[in-house]
Amino acid sequence: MDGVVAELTQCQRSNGVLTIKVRFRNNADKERRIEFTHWNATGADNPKFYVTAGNKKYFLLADSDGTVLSTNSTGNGVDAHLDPGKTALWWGKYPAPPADVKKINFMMPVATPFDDVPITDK
Amino acid sequence: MVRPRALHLLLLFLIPCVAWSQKYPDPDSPAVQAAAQAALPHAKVLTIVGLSSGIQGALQDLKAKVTAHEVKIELDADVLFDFDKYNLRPAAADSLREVSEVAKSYGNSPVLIEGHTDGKGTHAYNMTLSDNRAQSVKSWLVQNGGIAASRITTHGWGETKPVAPNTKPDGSDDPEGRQKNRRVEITIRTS
Repeated sequence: MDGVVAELTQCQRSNGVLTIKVRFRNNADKERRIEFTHWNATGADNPKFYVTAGNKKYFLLADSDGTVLSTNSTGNGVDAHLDPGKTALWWGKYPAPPADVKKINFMMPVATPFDDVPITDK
Repeated sequence: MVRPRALHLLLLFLIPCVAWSQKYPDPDSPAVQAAAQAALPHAKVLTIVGLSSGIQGALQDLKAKVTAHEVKIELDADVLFDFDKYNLRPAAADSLREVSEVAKSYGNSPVLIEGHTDGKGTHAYNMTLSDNRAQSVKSWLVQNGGIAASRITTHGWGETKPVAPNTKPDGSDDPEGRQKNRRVEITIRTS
């Protein structure tokens, strides 16, 4: 994804839920494809979408149908083409760390890890 | 007939700013809030055993350099190999295990392993030694670290890419410089 910038725009804790939003912007002069899957993203054997804080690892929440509470454009993931200059938002819902945890680390498959991200309480 | 996935992509082209079509389109909607609350009792939260901070701990232990496009790890060849050998020492396992964890955390991102030697010996010998050492690291990551061989490429550079002088300004040997040059670099392309 040369030329695509990922910016973590929100890390908000509310009612026990942590919402993370990441905005992708295509700064390249050509179309770029963003593709990844949430396959088994609620499980420990998926190393791609999680939050860490202290010695805890938090995975995406899912509804009773097994659909992750996140951006899904293909049923279980994202497959999109971004024109130059365009942006797209990915978001995910996680169980929130305890109130005394003020920062988290966030990992997703198409960006380098986001470290020491401050939590905003709502 | 237009398949659902193709239809989604078609919609993406028809709207000026990309909005991914989905079951839950708005993260702040009451429906999503309710679904999240309902999901909380089934949330998966694990306690990390061993490395206190998971991948972050491994990155720190390895002194990895993380940029927007890659993760670069430099391993001291003297820790990985005995003098003039390319079979890995048992002591190499700890570092390579952490390298495996980092590489796995980046999905199928390509991994480049580059071997380097100091300035001693002939060019041909150093090229072969550095290539064999890179191959040894690859073999370990595949056989013990669970990294797909197809992700990994190797290259031996011999003494051609030093990071420190092999000799002092007066022409005498520089053992410290040579030690820095004996290394294996592992680069994970992340974008």
